[in-house]
Amino acid sequence: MEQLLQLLVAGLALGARYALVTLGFVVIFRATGVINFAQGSLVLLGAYLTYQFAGPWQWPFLLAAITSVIACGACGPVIERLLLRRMVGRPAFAVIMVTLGLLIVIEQAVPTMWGQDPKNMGDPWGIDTVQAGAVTVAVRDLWTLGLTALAIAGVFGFFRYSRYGLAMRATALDQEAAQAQGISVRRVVALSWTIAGAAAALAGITVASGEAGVSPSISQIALAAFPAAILGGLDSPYGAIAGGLVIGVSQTLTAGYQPDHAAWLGDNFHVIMPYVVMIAILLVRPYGLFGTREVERA
Amino acid sequence: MNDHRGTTERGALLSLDGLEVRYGGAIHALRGVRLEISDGEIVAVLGTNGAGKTTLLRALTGLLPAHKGHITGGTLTLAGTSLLGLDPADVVRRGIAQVMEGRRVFAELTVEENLRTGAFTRADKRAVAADFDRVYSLFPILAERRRATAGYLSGGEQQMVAIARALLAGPRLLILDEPSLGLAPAMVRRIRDNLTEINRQGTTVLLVEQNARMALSIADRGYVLETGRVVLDGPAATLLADPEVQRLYLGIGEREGVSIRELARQRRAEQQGVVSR
Ligand SMILES: Nc1ncnc2c1ncn2[C@@H]1O[C@H](COP(=O)(O)OP(=O)(O)OP(=O)(O)O)[C@@H](O)[C@H]1O
Ligand SMILES: [Mg+2]
Repeated sequence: MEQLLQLLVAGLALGARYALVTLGFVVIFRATGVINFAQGSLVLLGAYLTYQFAGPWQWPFLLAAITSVIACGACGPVIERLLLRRMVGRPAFAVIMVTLGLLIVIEQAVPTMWGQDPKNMGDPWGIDTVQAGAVTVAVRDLWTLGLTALAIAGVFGFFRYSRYGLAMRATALDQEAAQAQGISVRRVVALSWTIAGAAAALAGITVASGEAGVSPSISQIALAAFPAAILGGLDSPYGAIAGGLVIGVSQTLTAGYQPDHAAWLGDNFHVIMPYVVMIAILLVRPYGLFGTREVERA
Repeated sequence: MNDHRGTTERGALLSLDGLEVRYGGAIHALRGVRLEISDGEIVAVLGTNGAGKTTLLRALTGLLPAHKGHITGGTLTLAGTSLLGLDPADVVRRGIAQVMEGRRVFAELTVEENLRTGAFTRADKRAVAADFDRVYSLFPILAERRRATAGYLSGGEQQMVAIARALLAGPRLLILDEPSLGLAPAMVRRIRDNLTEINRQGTTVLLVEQNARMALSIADRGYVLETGRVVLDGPAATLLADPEVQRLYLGIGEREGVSIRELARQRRAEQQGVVSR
């Protein structure tokens, strides 16, 4: 029982990190129809910038983290402006290759600047744990859950209540009709990339905090977050959150129980778990958990 | 002229001269179109499928680039200032709002959210609130259903949402692309009466229709487009009496009661053909 609770908390925290990355996939996909694989590179950049500010530059950690989130939020629209806007109207395959190419370039550039060895990001909670009865929980997981919940609530509140949030929802539904209302699709796209970049940076910070450390491999979180986006429904922000949590929890439970109960599956089965879950869910619900069945009268 | 509003003393609100539009360099969709609308008028534009009606409205509202179309000649002015090269948001800010062909409501947003998108360009909250009251009294059913998801409304109610949304932009000129398309005759009459009322409250109306009977029954003047050219124009009564108009357009009007659904379905299929090309 204790083990289950412990795994659930860790799984939700992992899922929250996925959810941030997934939300970025979904927000950009809704605005532009592009699946942005370069998302992982902003995760990486967010973590390394935080390290740079809090470590070598000795800034207070919170300031370092916030600055890094803002910087990555600003990087999003720059990437869109310099690369993806030129790709408008090109085949989807070509666009995807551009985002993948960018991911590979940044994944190589980052270790060139900061080296291959893991760094301590300088977060104040480090490897601390708290004890609740027999359950041990990592402080970094609690921070992850808290910060992610705040960020996600902020984004959803923005979608729901703000003028540009409404514009983003309208644009996702019918771009031309949105334009006809005087909504600037360019601004909606830029805003989507800002949200995705900032969310990716926060994901990077929460992944790299504590014992994990900052290393080039953290961009791989995007590989697990991608199936989360598909299984949630690529065009659904709610699906992004649900998909992230489902993947996080199932992956952690697998890592916790499978070696004892199904050892024949090998040592690293939890790594492919996101894809197993995605395939299972898509077999039952082809549009993902929250993907659109169109709301429309015949 | 039956123009009781006096075209000359008010001057043209919207004026097009020699307007040329091409799609992708090859398709010549509008050829030397000349058209004027005075403040306070209702002007009808009639034309069969593919005549260029929607293209004309795209040219007015800055939506051509989204279709790889461009204005290749002529002038286009609103109250004396050119609209050439403006993007859709600028056009809305200058006072032109449109009800697009096929309604195009945001299906997953509520009625109220749809209306809020119409007011996107406006900063004056008070004026917007007053316009909300105005459209809700014009369309009481929308006030009742303001929290309903727009995609679940009937076709006629969706058309009302589209019109109300356009009114929330606070336009001087309201343009509508075939608002009667796919609606039952009783609903067509209601929409027609709504347009008369909207015009009476001070909004100039440009009404694009294939339903000539409906359009000419409320319009002051009308134009007939054929393969991108204005082939006929004049006061509504003159057009109604014109044998050519009667043969071409009032024939369609008679089919209305029999199979308007079928007609609408065919048209929609044709349009999707156009888009996917
Ligand atoms: N996006 C486009 N690309 C190329 N050609 C187009 C495009 N849209 C319209 N056309 C062409 O321009 C001409 C005018 O089309 P338009 O849609 O303006 O006609 P319409 O009068 O609105 O017809 P309908 O009554 O069917 O709506 C047609 O020949 C059409 O094929
Ligand atoms: Mg048309």
